[in-house]
Amino acid sequence: MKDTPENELFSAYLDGEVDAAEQAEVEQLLATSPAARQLMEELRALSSTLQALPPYQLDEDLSDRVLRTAERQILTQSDRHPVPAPAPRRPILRRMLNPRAVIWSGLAVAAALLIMMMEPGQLDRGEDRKVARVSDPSDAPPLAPSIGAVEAPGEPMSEAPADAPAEAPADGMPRLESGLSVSATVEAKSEKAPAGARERELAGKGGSADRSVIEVPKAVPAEEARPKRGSAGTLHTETLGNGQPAPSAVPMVGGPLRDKANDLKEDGSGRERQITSGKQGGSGFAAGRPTIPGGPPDVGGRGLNSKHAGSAYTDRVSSPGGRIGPADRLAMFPQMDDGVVIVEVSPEALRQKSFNRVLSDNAIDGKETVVDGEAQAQAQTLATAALHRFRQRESQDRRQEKSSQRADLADTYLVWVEATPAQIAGTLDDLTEEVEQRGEFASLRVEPELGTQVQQDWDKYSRSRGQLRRFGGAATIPAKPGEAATDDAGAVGQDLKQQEGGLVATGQPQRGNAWMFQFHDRPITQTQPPNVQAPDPAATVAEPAEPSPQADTPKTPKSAVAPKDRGGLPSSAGRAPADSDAPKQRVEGLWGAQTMQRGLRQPPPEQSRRYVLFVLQVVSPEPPAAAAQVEEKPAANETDVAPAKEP
Amino acid sequence: MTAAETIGIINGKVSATADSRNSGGNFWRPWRVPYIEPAVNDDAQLINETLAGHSAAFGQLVRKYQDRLYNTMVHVAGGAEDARDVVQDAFVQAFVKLDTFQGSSAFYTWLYRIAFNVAASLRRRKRPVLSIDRAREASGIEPMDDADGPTEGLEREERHRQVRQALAQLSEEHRAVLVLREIDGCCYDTIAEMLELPIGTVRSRLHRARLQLREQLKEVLMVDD
Repeated sequence: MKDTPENELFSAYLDGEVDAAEQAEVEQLLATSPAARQLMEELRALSSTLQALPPYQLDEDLSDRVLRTAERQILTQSDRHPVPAPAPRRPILRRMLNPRAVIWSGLAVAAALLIMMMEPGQLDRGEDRKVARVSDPSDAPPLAPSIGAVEAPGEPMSEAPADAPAEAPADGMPRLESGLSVSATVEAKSEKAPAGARERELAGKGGSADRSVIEVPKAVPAEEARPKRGSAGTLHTETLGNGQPAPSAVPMVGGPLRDKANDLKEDGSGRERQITSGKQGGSGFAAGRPTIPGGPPDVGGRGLNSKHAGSAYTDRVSSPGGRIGPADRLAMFPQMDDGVVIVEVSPEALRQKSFNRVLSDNAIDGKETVVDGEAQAQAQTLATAALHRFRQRESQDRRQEKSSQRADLADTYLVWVEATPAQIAGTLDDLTEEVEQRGEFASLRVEPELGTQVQQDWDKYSRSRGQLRRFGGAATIPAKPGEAATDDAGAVGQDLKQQEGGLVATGQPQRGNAWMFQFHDRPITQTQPPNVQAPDPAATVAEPAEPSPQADTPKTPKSAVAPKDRGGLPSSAGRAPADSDAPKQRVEGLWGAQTMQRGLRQPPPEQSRRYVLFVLQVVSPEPPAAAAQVEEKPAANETDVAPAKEP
Repeated sequence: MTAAETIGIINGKVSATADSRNSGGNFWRPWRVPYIEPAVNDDAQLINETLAGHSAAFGQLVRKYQDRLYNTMVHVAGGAEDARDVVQDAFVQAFVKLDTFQGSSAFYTWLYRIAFNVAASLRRRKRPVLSIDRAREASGIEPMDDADGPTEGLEREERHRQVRQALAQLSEEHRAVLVLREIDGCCYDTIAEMLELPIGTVRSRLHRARLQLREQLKEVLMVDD
């Protein structure tokens, strides 16, 4: 072995990186060769010198910069990642001669020609032949009781001519864009009377509004047929007293899917009624109205029954006057869980629990305040942002004088609402109606406002909604109650029904929940715990045995009804027995007893629900705390069934 | 992953898992110089947490290794600023590609490999390479040194300057091996893994680097003796 400096074993020996043989070899050299010893000493000194160098140190913590840079890099890479190489293009002629291309091209041309040849209204005419729509009550025969009864007495339901032509959109109903025009036409058509939907609704809450989904049974007096207004807790799918189903009555969409043994109950009149929800009416998806996914479930309730059940998400695409209403605006965000609705309320409305009543009418039940700190903070953040935007726009909106009267946030109440889109839409429409009637709600704004992009999304949304409606329109009309749909689009209808969240299939009423608390961590609502035990349907529903004779009382505009009398709205009807249990219930704060009196079923958690935050702003100097402490009205005051009084 | 999970307690007896055996701890000691050895369990845990979405865990890895890597990269990259860029880019690349880290080697080894690649790329982009002294003069960063007194401190400082200058005169391949061995205290296996070289090449390069440096630092070494 060499003892020359080129022998790398010396370094390895110095580093301890030699095996036993090499070690012995090096040690022998070191013992015999002074040059080797000299080399080893120099290498050892060099190593010591190098190791004695003071270390360099960074004068900063790189972690933040590293993470930021890495994040940016990841984002950049992900942006330019999926750029697949373009497939080699085949010659145009070969592509054109591809059988699939020919077929699809032909179909596309045919569809385009079909659309061009048909007026918009005609697109829905076929559906209207199957589903008679309500025309002007003045020229319509009395209507039999059917599903979905009307929320208010007054006008007999009528059968529209089966071949009623579609009308052009009503005056003053401009179309936003082409995508919206179909829906606007549908709405106008569904309200055949010259007066638009809003006028009819204004003429009397539930008087004739949108009873569009009824196929008319024959020769059944309206008084007998129409369920009493406010028959909370039930939905009437009425059959004749002899047990035979009314031949022309249109069942619920989900009728075939229901458990009839559970749903059918005998009432005092000898008729069977199908209990499907916690409230009266609920034509739901009756009359073959399909719904888009996420559309209204089969929830009873005034707003839903009259305006939304089966139609809210199909026909009511645009609001009267062509503008987009709050419900429509909110419906544009099917995935939005942070919708904020700012409602200006009067102290009187707080006292009278008008907002609670509106929620209740839409099958949304107040809950005991269990909003935890996080949810409350989130609500306050949302509300603050929404109020800020609202006031910003308002200040540009020549409404400064009104905003000056507005109370501060201390007079703001937040209500988390967890409900289906249909329930929320129903609530919004009811509130809109109140606002337009100059009722207890001064204004209603939905955040976010529509922007350009949102407008475009809205057009797409409404377009697809119209397509869905047409596509599945015939699917959900069984030949008669209890039979499955047998039409061509049966499968489609079935899919749609299933997409409704299984509600129809299970027959479970889907009820919304609401939690109310005051801004600034001052909970004011301490409602009685809801009766969430699944009750016997018969016990759950406090159903009047007979339709109220007041059902035919001419409708009075809601605003003309004294607040005290308004306790007799449908939601509060039939609560007399439950109200007698008042001692069990702690009634404090704003939440009234009426929302909690009915037996409720636990809402299925898997339903497609959304959270919407209602921001109630009191627009009077009167402190809301006073309203919070208003003594509950006796329950008996709220058990009156007929809301409409003679003016 | 906790230490108990990594080390494992089987029937009351402590048994090291393969991770701790491969990457350090009491069974295999890659570092000759008594650095504070990273507890492998911690690295693995931090990596797992990072991959689980807790990027702050990677921040801990950065803080843990940035000075050590920087101290090596100052000699490899040839300048303080370049070394800072190399270290930062190496950590960024490590973060981005952390899911490709197999765990067969220590995280630090893997990080070094990335850093050397980054430094090579930087050298290709930036030529000529700045010397350490020029970089030090430009950045004003001077390594800390424990001076016994004014005179001895100056002498020591001068000696260190000469050593660094001599080190900078080495070729890149020799300097890298020598720095990893002498400055960073890596064993031959680790150096071979970091530089992706055979161990024989590491041994020969290291010896040649020492011989070259010995020639340049003869005077310094004589003074030291």
